[in-house]
Amino acid sequence: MKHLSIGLIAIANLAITSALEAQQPDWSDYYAFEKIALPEKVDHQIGGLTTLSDGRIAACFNSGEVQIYDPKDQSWTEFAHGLMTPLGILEEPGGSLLVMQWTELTRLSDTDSDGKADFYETVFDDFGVTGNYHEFAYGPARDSEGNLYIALNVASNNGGVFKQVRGPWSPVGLDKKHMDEDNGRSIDDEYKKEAGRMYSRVPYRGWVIKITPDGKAEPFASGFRSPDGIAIDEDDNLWVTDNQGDWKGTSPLYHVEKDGFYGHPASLTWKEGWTRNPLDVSVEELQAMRTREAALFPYGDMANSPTQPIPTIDPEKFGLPEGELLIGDMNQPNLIRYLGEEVGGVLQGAVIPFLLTPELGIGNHRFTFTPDGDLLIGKIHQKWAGDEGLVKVVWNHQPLFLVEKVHLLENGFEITFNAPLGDEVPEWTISRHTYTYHGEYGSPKVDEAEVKITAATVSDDRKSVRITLPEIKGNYLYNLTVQKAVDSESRPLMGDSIYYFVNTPASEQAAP
Amino acid sequence: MKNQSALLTAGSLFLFGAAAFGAPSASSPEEAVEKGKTAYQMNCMACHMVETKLVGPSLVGIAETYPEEKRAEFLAWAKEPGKKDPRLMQMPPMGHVPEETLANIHAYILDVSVGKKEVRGNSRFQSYKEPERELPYVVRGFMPHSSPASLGIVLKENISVCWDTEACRLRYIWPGDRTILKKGHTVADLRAEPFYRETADRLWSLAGDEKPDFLGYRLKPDGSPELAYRIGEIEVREHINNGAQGGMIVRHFTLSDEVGELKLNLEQDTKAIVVSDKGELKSGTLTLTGADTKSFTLTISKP
Ligand code: HEC
Repeated sequence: MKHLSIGLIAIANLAITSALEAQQPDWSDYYAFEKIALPEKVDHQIGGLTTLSDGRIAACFNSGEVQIYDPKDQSWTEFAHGLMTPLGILEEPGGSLLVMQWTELTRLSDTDSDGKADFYETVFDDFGVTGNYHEFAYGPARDSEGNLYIALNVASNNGGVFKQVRGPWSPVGLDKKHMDEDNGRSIDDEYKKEAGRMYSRVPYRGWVIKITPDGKAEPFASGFRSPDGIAIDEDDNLWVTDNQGDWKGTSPLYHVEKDGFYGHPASLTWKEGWTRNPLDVSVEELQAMRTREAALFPYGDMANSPTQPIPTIDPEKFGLPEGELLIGDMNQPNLIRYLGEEVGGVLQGAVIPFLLTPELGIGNHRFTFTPDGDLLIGKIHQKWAGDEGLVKVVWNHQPLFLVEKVHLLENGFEITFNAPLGDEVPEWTISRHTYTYHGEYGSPKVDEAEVKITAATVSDDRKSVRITLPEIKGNYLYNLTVQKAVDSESRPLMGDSIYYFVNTPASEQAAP
Repeated sequence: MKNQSALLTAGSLFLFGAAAFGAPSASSPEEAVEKGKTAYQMNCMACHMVETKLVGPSLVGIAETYPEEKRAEFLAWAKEPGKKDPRLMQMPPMGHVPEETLANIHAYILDVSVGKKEVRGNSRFQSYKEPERELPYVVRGFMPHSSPASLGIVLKENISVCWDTEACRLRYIWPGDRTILKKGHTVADLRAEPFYRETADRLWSLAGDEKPDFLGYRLKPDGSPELAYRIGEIEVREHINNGAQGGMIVRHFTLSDEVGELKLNLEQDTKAIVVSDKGELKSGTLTLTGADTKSFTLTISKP
């Protein structure tokens, strides 16, 4: 292993050193990791990151500043300050910046052209805030029509609420007097259960909200817990990641559509016509309402707290195929490639580790591609597992041997590579498991088993492998790993453990 | 030469191993420690270091609390963590890690801690301290006795203002100059009693039944804010800054339209001196009429 870096990412180094000692494929053969020096007087945790149309980079820091980085002279200048936990930033056509703060979506405009924002305009604040420590707010993501999407966390019963909250308080559930924080005291243990592990007592905690260009807002989809990642791809698909916890057996990626319910019941309080306490609803009823995940990240193996998805760019620039999503994670020193496909009208797909190396480190929170095609990574920890700082990942333009496509068949998978396989036929191992959908915190792997491969055939052009299995089960996560796969030029396969979440088997889908 | 996938599934492999309840699933203690190390690295290391207390306690500390004979308690904690140290966050439950694996982790923790001492949390991060700021400085944060959507307006001369963007009004003024209002998401400690605090339910006679709508704020070249909000048809701008003398603040109001008569209920439970440049201020109520309602200035001074 090359260039074991020291310092801030030392923890991550330790965490996987033993694993990597033995690992052949070495990401540093393809990518270099550079730290970008940050301004001194800000907290080096990055909540939002974006590339501006003039090629400069805007970052928002945990201490509330927006600063702009000019790669030409590596300088930082302050654009705005005093924001509360900004967790997302986006440039608008006129040059103003949208920032998602704890309590509002804000437009920062420099009306006198002195390089600093002088107008902090409230774009959207029609949602509740209780003062609970867990009510993070994320976004915005923008679609091709200019609609904005933001995502709102639910509150946690490890904390209470303020006496004065913003937004109407729902009377359904534990009496507010047992939830009021007094000098930092949270909810007493005897009331915690009644409060719900995660709760949504002001609108629209646990929802994704859509805001149209003329400023109208609508509650768009519900069932979220801690949706730190929200993104729109080139085809206007809305993607949201969520965090493992209650009602999230492991961390998911959702393809979010209007009126969808994505599994966490607390948010139902704000569904039109809903009157019941979400804690009283049966698992079966919720199960029938919810939309299953587009991908699952196996907890502990690939991602514990997934972060932002970002669509990949021109393969000539960063080395990855276009049309994928790259996703970060707080705890694991890897990024994740999502290769989605639509099978019978259902979006499902595979996740594959990318840049699994201590040089990447953990806390990978916000991403942007520079005009040159380098990937910038903003880190965060929020006093939790994570890191801080800004890292630039530069591809050295050496071609990588990659899985390019994973296609679900009626009785197996077809895996396509970006180059022909070498002469040796690589060995595959397949296992599968599922997770329990329930109110407990996370789920162990359930019904885990190895799957016997009935046949594995390499195509004539040696660019794909068809793996046949006795059966494919819906709602199962299939782990396909391959040993010693190399291409015809002896380059090792980068990313050799694939997790395909079979949302719905091909056999169960309506014929096209 | 191991493959990376071997590691990626390491945690789960133990599932297949037959193991006695709560005991490490290994044929030898060495193997348990070895397996425990890998599982610890995958599942716990992001928060627990060997000797240093950071996000969570160090392994050395955990070994002290949970010696060999307390394995059951260790397993119980990992599966359903409680809350002990109020300065630390809540640990997430580790229910996804099989019991035998947790037992292996326990074996590793005891092994690796032998002869080691816990060292104090020398943070792995840049320690961020509030820098010297140019005042006035406007910052959002949680503040006591106001809605969670409040602004701190830190002026010169040790004067700060709490302005609630939900109610669209100034709540109180206190002697202070801290420009970071929060640590994490806890409420700011003002460290001093306000010398001006408004108590009326409703400030403006304009309000009717309409809830005011916050529009944002502009920062003047000197950094002082002009807050904008709408009450019904009227847009109000309120510019807040230091006054001519120490211990004084000025609030300059501009309305988008003249209204016939305007009343501001400025009752306070403090003893600040309030002066208006226009209209009549009597027993806490300011009354303005005609052209005066379009623009007026209040000056508030420490008693
Ligand atoms: C995301 C961070 C995080 C991860 C991952 C984590 N812990 Fe913790 N752990 C904590 C925190 C924070 C505390 C302190 C909680 C407190 O004092 O309230 C803690 C405390 C503990 C304690 C001490 C309890 C006591 O009685 O003092 C044990 C034992 C423990 N963790 C075991 C584990 C094990 C085993 C794993 C991995 C399987 C693990 N933890 C993973 C954050 C974490």
